[in-house]
Amino acid sequence: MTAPTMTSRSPTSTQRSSPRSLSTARSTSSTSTAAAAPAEDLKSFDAEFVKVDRATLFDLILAANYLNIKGLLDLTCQTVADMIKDNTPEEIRKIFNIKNDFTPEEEAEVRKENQWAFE
Amino acid sequence: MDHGSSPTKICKSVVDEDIISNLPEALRDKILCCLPIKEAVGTCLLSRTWRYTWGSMTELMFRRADFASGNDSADDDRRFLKFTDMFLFLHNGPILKFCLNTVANEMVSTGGHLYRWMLMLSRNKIKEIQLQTSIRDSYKVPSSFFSCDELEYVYLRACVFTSLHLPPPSKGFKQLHTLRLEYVTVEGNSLGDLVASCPNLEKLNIRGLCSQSNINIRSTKFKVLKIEGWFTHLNLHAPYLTSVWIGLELNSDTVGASTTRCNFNLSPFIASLSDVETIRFHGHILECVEREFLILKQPKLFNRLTEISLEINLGDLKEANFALCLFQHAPNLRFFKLKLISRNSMVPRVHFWESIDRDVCLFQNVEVVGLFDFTGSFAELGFLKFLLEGAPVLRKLGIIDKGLDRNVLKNLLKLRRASKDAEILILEACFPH
Repeated sequence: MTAPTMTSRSPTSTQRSSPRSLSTARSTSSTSTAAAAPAEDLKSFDAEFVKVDRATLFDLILAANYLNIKGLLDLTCQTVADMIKDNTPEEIRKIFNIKNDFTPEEEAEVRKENQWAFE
Repeated sequence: MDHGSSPTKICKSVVDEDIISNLPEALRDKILCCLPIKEAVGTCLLSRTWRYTWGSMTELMFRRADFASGNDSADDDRRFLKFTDMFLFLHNGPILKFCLNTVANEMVSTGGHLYRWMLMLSRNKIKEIQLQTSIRDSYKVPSSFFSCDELEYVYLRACVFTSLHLPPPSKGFKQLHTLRLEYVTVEGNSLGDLVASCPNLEKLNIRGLCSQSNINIRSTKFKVLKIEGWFTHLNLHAPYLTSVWIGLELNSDTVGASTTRCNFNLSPFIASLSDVETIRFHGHILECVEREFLILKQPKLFNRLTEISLEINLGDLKEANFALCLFQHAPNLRFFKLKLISRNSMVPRVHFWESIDRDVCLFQNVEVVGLFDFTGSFAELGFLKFLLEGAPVLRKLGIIDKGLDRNVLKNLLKLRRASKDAEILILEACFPH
Protein backbone atom coordinates (compact mmCIF):
# COMPACT_ATOMS: atom_id res chain seq x y z
CA MET A 1 0.00 0.00 0.00
CA THR A 2 1.45 3.39 -0.91
CA ALA A 3 1.64 6.03 1.80
CA PRO A 4 -1.47 8.19 1.80
CA THR A 5 -1.01 11.79 0.75
CA MET A 6 -1.12 14.58 3.27
CA THR A 7 -4.44 16.27 3.49
CA SER A 8 -5.79 19.55 4.73
CA ARG A 9 -8.04 19.67 7.74
CA SER A 10 -11.26 20.02 5.86
CA PRO A 11 -14.30 17.76 6.13
CA THR A 12 -13.34 16.22 2.80
CA SER A 13 -10.18 14.83 4.40
CA THR A 14 -12.23 11.83 5.46
CA GLN A 15 -12.84 11.05 1.84
CA ARG A 16 -9.13 11.06 1.16
CA SER A 17 -8.28 8.38 3.67
CA SER A 18 -11.38 6.44 2.78
CA PRO A 19 -9.72 4.24 0.14
CA ARG A 20 -7.26 2.86 2.72
CA SER A 21 -9.84 2.35 5.41
CA LEU A 22 -12.46 1.02 3.00
CA SER A 23 -10.22 -1.67 1.61
CA THR A 24 -9.23 -2.63 5.14
CA ALA A 25 -12.83 -2.62 6.27
CA ARG A 26 -13.62 -5.06 3.53
CA SER A 27 -10.69 -7.29 4.43
CA THR A 28 -11.29 -7.15 8.18
CA SER A 29 -14.97 -7.88 7.81
CA SER A 30 -14.19 -10.81 5.55
CA THR A 31 -11.53 -12.12 7.95
CA SER A 32 -14.01 -11.90 10.78
CA THR A 33 -16.37 -14.23 8.95
CA ALA A 34 -13.60 -16.58 7.76
CA ALA A 35 -13.13 -19.30 10.34
CA ALA A 36 -9.43 -19.77 9.76
CA ALA A 37 -7.99 -16.33 10.68
CA PRO A 38 -6.01 -16.84 13.90
CA ALA A 39 -6.25 -14.21 16.62
CA GLU A 40 -2.51 -13.42 16.61
CA ASP A 41 -2.51 -12.71 12.88
CA LEU A 42 -5.40 -10.33 13.25
CA LYS A 43 -3.74 -8.64 16.19
CA SER A 44 -0.48 -8.07 14.34
CA PHE A 45 -2.40 -6.93 11.28
CA ASP A 46 -4.18 -4.38 13.45
CA ALA A 47 -0.92 -3.27 15.04
CA GLU A 48 0.73 -2.76 11.66
CA PHE A 49 -2.31 -1.01 10.27
CA VAL A 50 -2.16 1.77 12.82
CA LYS A 51 1.57 2.35 12.41
CA VAL A 52 0.96 5.57 10.59
CA ASP A 53 1.74 9.19 11.30
CA ARG A 54 -0.57 11.05 13.62
CA ALA A 55 -2.34 13.03 10.92
CA THR A 56 -3.31 9.85 9.09
CA LEU A 57 -4.38 8.26 12.34
CA PHE A 58 -6.82 11.09 12.99
CA ASP A 59 -8.00 10.88 9.41
CA LEU A 60 -8.75 7.22 10.03
CA ILE A 61 -10.67 8.06 13.19
CA LEU A 62 -12.80 10.61 11.36
CA ALA A 63 -13.32 8.25 8.41
CA ALA A 64 -14.28 5.33 10.67
CA ASN A 65 -16.69 7.57 12.53
CA TYR A 66 -18.25 8.96 9.36
CA LEU A 67 -18.54 5.55 7.71
CA ASN A 68 -19.68 3.98 10.99
CA ILE A 69 -17.05 1.22 11.07
CA LYS A 70 -17.01 0.24 14.72
CA GLY A 71 -13.97 -2.06 14.67
CA LEU A 72 -11.77 0.51 13.02
CA LEU A 73 -13.01 3.28 15.28
CA ASP A 74 -12.30 1.20 18.40
CA LEU A 75 -8.82 0.31 17.16
CA THR A 76 -7.80 3.83 16.20
CA CYS A 77 -9.20 5.44 19.35
CA GLN A 78 -7.41 2.89 21.51
CA THR A 79 -4.19 3.66 19.63
CA VAL A 80 -4.52 7.35 20.43
CA ALA A 81 -5.38 6.52 24.04
CA ASP A 82 -2.22 4.41 24.25
CA MET A 83 -0.23 7.48 23.19
CA ILE A 84 -1.76 9.45 26.06
CA LYS A 85 -1.36 6.73 28.66
CA ASP A 86 1.50 6.88 31.13
CA ASN A 87 2.59 10.35 29.99
CA THR A 88 2.68 13.59 31.93
CA PRO A 89 0.52 16.47 30.67
CA GLU A 90 3.63 18.17 29.27
CA GLU A 91 4.61 15.05 27.32
CA ILE A 92 1.07 14.66 26.01
CA ARG A 93 1.02 18.27 24.87
CA LYS A 94 4.27 17.69 23.01
CA ILE A 95 2.98 14.58 21.24
CA PHE A 96 -0.22 16.20 20.07
CA ASN A 97 0.88 19.83 19.70
CA ILE A 98 -1.60 21.00 22.32
CA LYS A 99 -0.99 24.56 23.38
CA ASN A 100 -1.06 25.13 27.10
CA ASP A 101 -3.37 28.12 27.33
CA PHE A 102 -3.76 28.02 31.12
CA THR A 103 -2.47 30.91 33.15
CA PRO A 104 -0.49 29.80 36.21
CA GLU A 105 -3.44 30.77 38.42
CA GLU A 106 -5.87 28.76 36.28
CA GLU A 107 -3.62 25.73 36.34
CA ALA A 108 -3.33 25.94 40.12
CA GLU A 109 -7.12 26.13 40.36
CA VAL A 110 -7.55 23.05 38.17
CA ARG A 111 -5.12 21.13 40.35
CA LYS A 112 -7.00 22.14 43.49
CA GLU A 113 -10.37 21.33 41.97
CA ASN A 114 -9.24 17.86 41.00
CA GLN A 115 -6.86 17.16 43.86
CA TRP A 116 -8.73 13.92 44.57
CA ALA A 117 -7.67 12.58 41.19
CA PHE A 118 -3.98 13.12 41.76
CA GLU A 119 -3.73 11.47 45.14
CA MET B 1 -6.65 18.84 -3.29
CA ASP B 2 -4.07 21.41 -4.23
CA HIS B 3 -1.07 19.93 -6.01
CA GLY B 4 0.45 23.37 -6.49
CA SER B 5 2.29 23.80 -3.16
CA SER B 6 5.24 21.58 -2.49
CA PRO B 7 4.51 18.51 -0.31
CA THR B 8 6.99 19.53 2.40
CA LYS B 9 5.20 22.82 2.99
CA ILE B 10 1.86 21.07 3.50
CA CYS B 11 3.47 18.47 5.76
CA LYS B 12 4.94 21.08 8.02
CA SER B 13 1.72 23.03 8.57
CA VAL B 14 -0.21 19.87 9.26
CA VAL B 15 2.33 18.38 11.65
CA ASP B 16 2.18 21.49 13.82
CA GLU B 17 -1.57 21.44 14.14
CA ASP B 18 -3.39 20.34 17.27
CA ILE B 19 -5.78 17.92 15.61
CA ILE B 20 -6.87 16.07 18.72
CA SER B 21 -8.36 19.07 20.48
CA ASN B 22 -10.42 19.88 17.40
CA LEU B 23 -11.97 16.47 17.04
CA PRO B 24 -15.73 16.34 17.55
CA GLU B 25 -16.64 15.98 21.20
CA ALA B 26 -18.03 12.49 20.75
CA LEU B 27 -14.68 11.29 19.46
CA ARG B 28 -12.69 12.93 22.25
CA ASP B 29 -15.11 11.28 24.64
CA LYS B 30 -14.44 7.95 22.99
CA ILE B 31 -10.69 8.36 23.27
CA LEU B 32 -10.97 9.21 26.95
CA CYS B 33 -13.15 6.17 27.53
CA CYS B 34 -10.22 4.03 26.27
CA LEU B 35 -7.96 5.37 29.02
CA PRO B 36 -7.78 4.21 32.63
CA ILE B 37 -10.16 6.54 34.40
CA LYS B 38 -7.54 8.25 36.54
CA GLU B 39 -5.58 9.27 33.44
CA ALA B 40 -8.76 10.37 31.74
CA VAL B 41 -9.33 12.84 34.57
CA GLY B 42 -5.66 13.84 34.30
CA THR B 43 -6.33 15.33 30.87
CA CYS B 44 -7.96 18.27 32.65
CA LEU B 45 -4.50 19.80 32.87
CA LEU B 46 -3.80 19.79 29.14
CA SER B 47 -5.52 22.97 28.05
CA ARG B 48 -8.71 24.97 28.52
CA THR B 49 -10.46 22.84 25.90
CA TRP B 50 -9.64 19.72 27.84
CA ARG B 51 -10.43 21.02 31.31
CA TYR B 52 -13.90 19.50 31.53
CA THR B 53 -13.89 16.97 28.71
CA TRP B 54 -13.47 14.16 31.25
CA GLY B 55 -16.61 15.38 33.02
CA SER B 56 -18.86 14.38 30.15
CA MET B 57 -17.49 10.89 29.55
CA THR B 58 -20.37 8.56 28.84
CA GLU B 59 -18.76 5.21 29.56
CA LEU B 60 -17.10 4.74 32.90
CA MET B 61 -14.94 1.90 34.16
CA PHE B 62 -13.73 1.97 37.75
CA ARG B 63 -11.12 -0.67 38.47
CA ARG B 64 -9.93 -1.17 42.02
CA ALA B 65 -6.79 -2.87 40.69
CA ASP B 66 -5.64 0.47 39.22
CA PHE B 67 -5.38 1.86 42.75
CA ALA B 68 -3.06 -0.79 44.12
CA SER B 69 -0.06 1.03 45.50
CA GLY B 70 1.67 -1.95 47.05
CA ASN B 71 1.19 -0.52 50.51
CA ASP B 72 -1.78 -0.62 52.78
CA SER B 73 -4.71 -2.30 51.05
CA ALA B 74 -7.27 -0.58 53.27
CA ASP B 75 -5.80 2.78 52.31
CA ASP B 76 -6.04 1.84 48.63
CA ASP B 77 -9.70 0.90 49.20
CA ARG B 78 -10.30 4.29 50.75
CA ARG B 79 -8.64 6.12 47.85
CA PHE B 80 -10.60 4.13 45.31
CA LEU B 81 -13.92 4.83 47.01
CA LYS B 82 -13.09 8.52 47.41
CA PHE B 83 -12.06 8.80 43.78
CA THR B 84 -15.26 7.16 42.56
CA ASP B 85 -17.42 9.29 44.85
CA MET B 86 -15.75 12.54 43.73
CA PHE B 87 -15.80 11.59 40.08
CA LEU B 88 -19.52 10.91 40.12
CA PHE B 89 -20.11 14.08 42.13
CA LEU B 90 -18.34 16.28 39.60
CA HIS B 91 -19.44 14.40 36.51
CA ASN B 92 -21.74 16.37 34.30
CA GLY B 93 -23.89 14.69 31.72
CA PRO B 94 -25.47 11.34 30.90
CA ILE B 95 -23.73 8.16 31.94
CA LEU B 96 -24.55 5.39 29.52
CA LYS B 97 -22.26 2.67 30.81
CA PHE B 98 -21.00 2.07 34.33
CA CYS B 99 -18.54 -0.72 35.04
CA LEU B 100 -17.04 -1.56 38.37
CA ASN B 101 -14.32 -4.11 38.99
CA THR B 102 -13.59 -4.84 42.64
CA VAL B 103 -13.23 -8.56 42.24
CA ALA B 104 -10.30 -9.01 44.59
CA ASN B 105 -11.51 -6.73 47.39
CA GLU B 106 -14.62 -6.60 49.51
CA MET B 107 -15.74 -3.05 49.85
CA VAL B 108 -19.08 -2.33 48.31
CA SER B 109 -21.45 -3.95 50.77
CA THR B 110 -20.44 -1.78 53.72
CA GLY B 111 -20.40 2.00 53.77
CA GLY B 112 -23.34 2.49 51.46
CA HIS B 113 -21.23 3.52 48.48
CA LEU B 114 -22.99 1.21 46.08
CA TYR B 115 -26.38 2.59 47.12
CA ARG B 116 -25.31 6.17 46.45
CA TRP B 117 -23.73 5.26 43.11
CA MET B 118 -26.82 3.35 42.02
CA LEU B 119 -29.02 6.28 43.00
CA MET B 120 -26.88 8.59 40.92
CA LEU B 121 -26.96 6.23 37.94
CA SER B 122 -30.73 5.94 38.12
CA ARG B 123 -30.90 9.69 37.54
CA ASN B 124 -28.57 9.53 34.55
CA LYS B 125 -30.28 7.42 31.89
CA ILE B 126 -27.90 4.52 32.45
CA LYS B 127 -28.02 1.83 29.78
CA GLU B 128 -25.43 -0.67 30.86
CA ILE B 129 -24.31 -1.68 34.34
CA GLN B 130 -21.55 -4.19 35.04
CA LEU B 131 -20.72 -4.69 38.70
CA GLN B 132 -17.94 -7.21 38.84
CA THR B 133 -17.71 -7.38 42.59
CA SER B 134 -16.15 -9.95 44.84
CA ILE B 135 -18.29 -13.02 45.51
CA ARG B 136 -17.69 -12.50 49.21
CA ASP B 137 -19.10 -9.00 48.97
CA SER B 138 -22.75 -9.93 49.19
CA TYR B 139 -25.30 -7.11 49.01
CA LYS B 140 -29.04 -6.64 48.64
CA VAL B 141 -29.88 -5.11 45.28
CA PRO B 142 -30.58 -1.39 45.91
CA SER B 143 -34.13 -0.30 45.21
CA SER B 144 -32.85 2.53 43.01
CA PHE B 145 -31.60 -0.14 40.61
CA PHE B 146 -35.20 -0.76 39.63
CA SER B 147 -35.63 2.90 38.70
CA CYS B 148 -33.04 2.66 35.93
CA ASP B 149 -35.65 2.52 33.21
CA GLU B 150 -33.31 2.63 30.24
CA LEU B 151 -31.19 -0.37 31.19
CA GLU B 152 -30.29 -2.66 28.31
CA TYR B 153 -27.49 -4.80 29.73
CA VAL B 154 -26.93 -5.84 33.33
CA TYR B 155 -24.20 -7.91 34.95
CA LEU B 156 -24.33 -8.38 38.70
CA ARG B 157 -22.51 -10.62 41.14
CA ALA B 158 -23.04 -11.82 44.66
CA CYS B 159 -26.30 -9.99 45.15
CA VAL B 160 -29.56 -10.97 46.77
CA PHE B 161 -32.94 -10.59 45.10
CA THR B 162 -36.03 -10.64 47.25
CA SER B 163 -39.64 -10.32 46.25
CA LEU B 164 -40.25 -7.53 48.67
CA HIS B 165 -38.57 -4.73 46.82
CA LEU B 166 -39.22 -5.74 43.23
CA PRO B 167 -41.35 -3.30 41.27
CA PRO B 168 -44.75 -4.42 39.96
CA PRO B 169 -44.63 -6.15 36.53
CA SER B 170 -45.99 -3.05 34.84
CA LYS B 171 -42.92 -1.10 35.80
CA GLY B 172 -39.94 -3.16 34.78
CA PHE B 173 -36.97 -2.83 32.48
CA LYS B 174 -38.60 -2.31 29.13
CA GLN B 175 -35.33 -2.18 27.18
CA LEU B 176 -33.38 -4.86 28.98
CA HIS B 177 -32.13 -7.48 26.54
CA THR B 178 -29.34 -9.21 28.48
CA LEU B 179 -29.21 -10.11 32.15
CA ARG B 180 -26.13 -11.82 33.53
CA LEU B 181 -26.00 -12.88 37.16
CA GLU B 182 -23.32 -14.72 39.08
CA TYR B 183 -23.50 -16.20 42.55
CA VAL B 184 -26.87 -14.69 43.27
CA THR B 185 -29.27 -15.71 45.95
CA VAL B 186 -32.87 -15.61 44.93
CA GLU B 187 -35.72 -15.58 47.42
CA GLY B 188 -39.20 -16.62 46.45
CA ASN B 189 -40.03 -16.22 42.80
CA SER B 190 -38.27 -12.87 42.54
CA LEU B 191 -36.31 -14.11 39.54
CA GLY B 192 -39.48 -15.16 37.73
CA ASP B 193 -41.14 -11.87 38.61
CA LEU B 194 -38.14 -9.92 37.38
CA VAL B 195 -38.16 -11.80 34.07
CA ALA B 196 -41.89 -11.21 33.73
CA SER B 197 -41.37 -7.47 34.06
CA CYS B 198 -38.79 -7.38 31.23
CA PRO B 199 -40.74 -7.85 28.00
CA ASN B 200 -37.69 -7.68 25.74
CA LEU B 201 -35.29 -9.87 27.67
CA GLU B 202 -33.60 -12.20 25.21
CA LYS B 203 -30.58 -13.48 27.05
CA LEU B 204 -30.54 -14.73 30.63
CA ASN B 205 -27.28 -16.11 31.96
CA ILE B 206 -27.07 -17.25 35.58
CA ARG B 207 -24.10 -18.92 37.18
CA GLY B 208 -23.98 -19.98 40.79
CA LEU B 209 -27.70 -19.59 41.38
CA CYS B 210 -28.83 -20.33 44.91
CA SER B 211 -32.51 -20.87 45.49
CA GLN B 212 -34.68 -22.93 47.76
CA SER B 213 -38.07 -21.80 46.53
CA ASN B 214 -40.13 -22.30 43.46
CA ILE B 215 -38.74 -20.50 40.42
CA ASN B 216 -41.19 -20.03 37.62
CA ILE B 217 -39.76 -18.47 34.47
CA ARG B 218 -41.91 -17.83 31.45
CA SER B 219 -40.87 -15.91 28.38
CA THR B 220 -41.67 -15.90 24.71
CA LYS B 221 -38.71 -13.67 23.93
CA PHE B 222 -35.82 -15.68 25.31
CA LYS B 223 -33.22 -16.70 22.79
CA VAL B 224 -30.40 -17.78 25.09
CA LEU B 225 -30.86 -19.24 28.54
CA LYS B 226 -28.24 -20.49 30.95
CA ILE B 227 -29.03 -21.50 34.51
CA GLU B 228 -26.36 -23.14 36.60
CA GLY B 229 -26.43 -23.56 40.30
CA TRP B 230 -28.33 -25.11 43.10
CA PHE B 231 -32.11 -24.96 42.99
CA THR B 232 -34.92 -27.18 44.20
CA HIS B 233 -37.85 -26.16 42.05
CA LEU B 234 -37.59 -24.89 38.52
CA ASN B 235 -40.42 -24.41 36.11
CA LEU B 236 -39.38 -23.17 32.67
CA HIS B 237 -41.36 -22.16 29.67
CA ALA B 238 -39.46 -20.52 26.84
CA PRO B 239 -40.46 -22.06 23.53
CA TYR B 240 -38.38 -19.85 21.25
CA LEU B 241 -34.99 -20.52 22.73
CA THR B 242 -32.10 -21.15 20.38
CA SER B 243 -29.65 -22.11 23.09
CA VAL B 244 -30.36 -23.67 26.47
CA TRP B 245 -27.90 -24.65 29.18
CA ILE B 246 -29.10 -26.02 32.50
CA GLY B 247 -26.70 -27.25 35.15
CA LEU B 248 -27.73 -28.51 38.56
CA GLU B 249 -25.12 -28.72 41.25
CA LEU B 250 -25.34 -30.67 44.45
CA ASN B 251 -25.73 -28.80 47.65
CA SER B 252 -22.56 -29.58 49.57
CA ASP B 253 -24.69 -30.69 52.53
CA THR B 254 -26.20 -33.51 50.55
CA VAL B 255 -23.06 -34.86 48.94
CA GLY B 256 -23.32 -38.60 49.23
CA ALA B 257 -27.12 -38.58 49.17
CA SER B 258 -28.45 -40.89 46.49
CA THR B 259 -30.67 -38.46 44.66
CA THR B 260 -31.05 -34.73 44.59
CA ARG B 261 -34.64 -33.85 45.24
CA CYS B 262 -35.19 -31.35 42.49
CA ASN B 263 -38.40 -30.62 40.68
CA PHE B 264 -37.79 -29.57 37.14
CA ASN B 265 -40.38 -29.76 34.37
CA LEU B 266 -37.89 -31.33 31.98
CA SER B 267 -40.33 -33.11 29.63
CA PRO B 268 -42.80 -30.32 28.94
CA PHE B 269 -39.94 -27.83 28.73
CA ILE B 270 -38.08 -29.78 26.05
CA ALA B 271 -41.28 -30.68 24.26
CA SER B 272 -42.05 -26.96 23.87
CA LEU B 273 -38.73 -26.06 22.26
CA SER B 274 -39.09 -25.86 18.49
CA ASP B 275 -36.18 -23.85 17.10
CA VAL B 276 -33.52 -24.84 19.56
CA GLU B 277 -30.00 -25.14 18.17
CA THR B 278 -27.92 -26.03 21.21
CA ILE B 279 -28.88 -28.05 24.27
CA ARG B 280 -26.64 -28.51 27.30
CA PHE B 281 -27.66 -30.37 30.43
CA HIS B 282 -24.93 -30.58 33.02
CA GLY B 283 -24.44 -31.57 36.60
CA HIS B 284 -27.22 -33.62 38.11
CA ILE B 285 -30.06 -32.24 36.05
CA LEU B 286 -30.72 -35.50 34.23
CA GLU B 287 -31.59 -37.15 37.50
CA CYS B 288 -34.82 -35.19 37.24
CA VAL B 289 -35.90 -37.22 34.23
CA GLU B 290 -39.22 -38.88 34.86
CA ARG B 291 -39.58 -42.62 34.69
CA GLU B 292 -41.48 -42.71 31.42
CA PHE B 293 -39.95 -39.97 29.41
CA LEU B 294 -42.11 -39.41 26.38
CA ILE B 295 -40.61 -36.45 24.65
CA LEU B 296 -43.44 -35.68 22.32
CA LYS B 297 -46.96 -36.85 21.67
CA GLN B 298 -46.76 -36.10 17.99
CA PRO B 299 -43.67 -36.77 15.85
CA LYS B 300 -42.14 -33.28 16.03
CA LEU B 301 -38.46 -32.96 15.20
CA PHE B 302 -35.81 -30.53 16.38
CA ASN B 303 -34.67 -29.69 12.91
CA ARG B 304 -32.31 -26.95 13.97
CA LEU B 305 -30.67 -28.81 16.80
CA THR B 306 -27.01 -29.22 15.87
CA GLU B 307 -25.21 -29.42 19.19
CA ILE B 308 -25.90 -31.39 22.36
CA SER B 309 -23.87 -31.65 25.54
CA LEU B 310 -24.96 -33.92 28.39
CA GLU B 311 -23.65 -35.06 31.72
CA ILE B 312 -25.15 -38.50 31.78
CA ASN B 313 -25.06 -41.97 33.25
CA LEU B 314 -25.43 -44.23 30.23
CA GLY B 315 -26.12 -47.19 32.45
CA ASP B 316 -29.19 -45.62 34.03
CA LEU B 317 -32.33 -46.65 32.18
CA LYS B 318 -34.15 -43.34 32.61
CA GLU B 319 -31.21 -41.25 31.47
CA ALA B 320 -30.34 -43.57 28.59
CA ASN B 321 -33.94 -43.41 27.43
CA PHE B 322 -33.85 -39.64 27.58
CA ALA B 323 -30.67 -39.46 25.50
CA LEU B 324 -32.13 -41.85 22.95
CA CYS B 325 -35.29 -39.76 22.64
CA LEU B 326 -33.22 -36.68 22.10
CA PHE B 327 -31.10 -38.32 19.41
CA GLN B 328 -34.18 -39.69 17.71
CA HIS B 329 -35.66 -36.22 17.37
CA ALA B 330 -32.48 -34.45 16.22
CA PRO B 331 -31.95 -35.47 12.58
CA ASN B 332 -29.50 -32.62 11.93
CA LEU B 333 -27.30 -33.17 14.94
CA ARG B 334 -23.67 -32.52 14.02
CA PHE B 335 -21.74 -32.35 17.23
CA PHE B 336 -22.33 -33.79 20.67
CA LYS B 337 -20.37 -34.46 23.80
CA LEU B 338 -21.12 -36.59 26.82
CA LYS B 339 -19.55 -36.34 30.22
CA LEU B 340 -19.95 -39.86 31.49
CA ILE B 341 -20.98 -40.54 35.04
CA SER B 342 -21.19 -43.90 36.68
CA ARG B 343 -23.40 -42.93 39.56
CA ASN B 344 -25.47 -45.89 40.66
CA SER B 345 -23.39 -48.98 40.54
CA MET B 346 -26.25 -50.99 42.04
CA VAL B 347 -28.23 -50.78 38.84
CA PRO B 348 -28.03 -54.10 36.97
CA ARG B 349 -26.25 -54.24 33.63
CA VAL B 350 -28.39 -52.58 31.06
CA HIS B 351 -28.56 -54.11 27.60
CA PHE B 352 -30.28 -50.96 26.50
CA TRP B 353 -28.03 -49.85 23.68
CA GLU B 354 -27.64 -53.32 22.23
CA SER B 355 -31.36 -53.82 21.93
CA ILE B 356 -32.18 -50.72 19.92
CA ASP B 357 -33.46 -51.23 16.40
CA ARG B 358 -30.51 -50.68 14.08
CA ASP B 359 -32.62 -50.04 10.98
CA VAL B 360 -33.04 -46.39 11.72
CA CYS B 361 -29.78 -44.51 11.32
CA LEU B 362 -29.75 -42.18 14.29
CA PHE B 363 -26.56 -40.23 13.83
CA GLN B 364 -26.94 -39.39 10.17
CA ASN B 365 -25.20 -36.03 10.28
CA VAL B 366 -22.99 -36.39 13.31
CA GLU B 367 -19.45 -35.33 12.54
CA VAL B 368 -17.68 -34.84 15.85
CA VAL B 369 -18.25 -36.57 19.17
CA GLY B 370 -16.52 -36.19 22.53
CA LEU B 371 -16.79 -38.71 25.36
CA PHE B 372 -15.33 -37.48 28.63
CA ASP B 373 -14.38 -39.58 31.66
CA PHE B 374 -14.77 -42.73 29.66
CA THR B 375 -14.23 -45.82 31.79
CA GLY B 376 -15.06 -48.52 29.32
CA SER B 377 -18.02 -49.81 31.32
CA PHE B 378 -20.51 -52.19 29.78
CA ALA B 379 -23.07 -49.51 29.06
CA GLU B 380 -20.47 -47.12 27.69
CA LEU B 381 -19.05 -49.69 25.30
CA GLY B 382 -22.58 -50.58 24.26
CA PHE B 383 -23.28 -46.95 23.44
CA LEU B 384 -19.98 -46.62 21.58
CA LYS B 385 -20.84 -49.62 19.41
CA PHE B 386 -24.27 -48.14 18.76
CA LEU B 387 -22.74 -44.80 17.82
CA LEU B 388 -20.03 -46.11 15.51
CA GLU B 389 -22.43 -48.33 13.64
CA GLY B 390 -24.93 -45.54 13.15
CA ALA B 391 -22.79 -42.53 12.22
CA PRO B 392 -21.99 -42.64 8.49
CA VAL B 393 -20.28 -39.24 8.32
CA LEU B 394 -18.43 -39.30 11.61
CA ARG B 395 -15.04 -37.62 11.32
CA LYS B 396 -13.65 -37.44 14.83
CA LEU B 397 -14.42 -39.26 18.01
CA GLY B 398 -12.48 -38.07 21.03
CA ILE B 399 -12.35 -40.33 24.06
CA ILE B 400 -10.94 -38.63 27.12
CA ASP B 401 -10.20 -41.02 29.93
CA LYS B 402 -8.01 -41.47 32.94
CA GLY B 403 -6.32 -44.59 31.69
CA LEU B 404 -8.01 -47.53 30.02
CA ASP B 405 -6.97 -51.11 30.47
CA ARG B 406 -5.96 -53.38 27.62
CA ASN B 407 -9.27 -55.26 27.50
CA VAL B 408 -11.23 -52.11 26.96
CA LEU B 409 -8.86 -51.00 24.23
CA LYS B 410 -9.13 -54.40 22.57
CA ASN B 411 -12.91 -54.15 22.60
CA LEU B 412 -12.72 -50.64 21.20
CA LEU B 413 -10.59 -51.73 18.26
CA LYS B 414 -12.98 -54.55 17.45
CA LEU B 415 -15.92 -52.19 16.96
CA ARG B 416 -17.13 -51.77 13.41
CA ARG B 417 -17.51 -48.27 11.97
CA ALA B 418 -20.05 -47.04 9.46
CA SER B 419 -17.87 -44.09 8.52
CA LYS B 420 -14.63 -44.74 6.70
CA ASP B 421 -13.33 -41.32 7.70
CA ALA B 422 -13.83 -41.79 11.42
CA GLU B 423 -10.77 -41.08 13.57
CA ILE B 424 -10.83 -42.29 17.13
CA LEU B 425 -8.56 -40.23 19.34
CA ILE B 426 -7.85 -41.44 22.84
CA LEU B 427 -6.69 -38.56 24.97
CA GLU B 428 -5.55 -38.43 28.55
CA ALA B 429 -7.59 -36.21 30.85
CA CYS B 430 -5.16 -33.47 31.69
CA PHE B 431 -7.05 -30.24 31.41
CA PRO B 432 -10.61 -29.20 32.27
CA HIS B 433 -13.19 -29.14 29.48
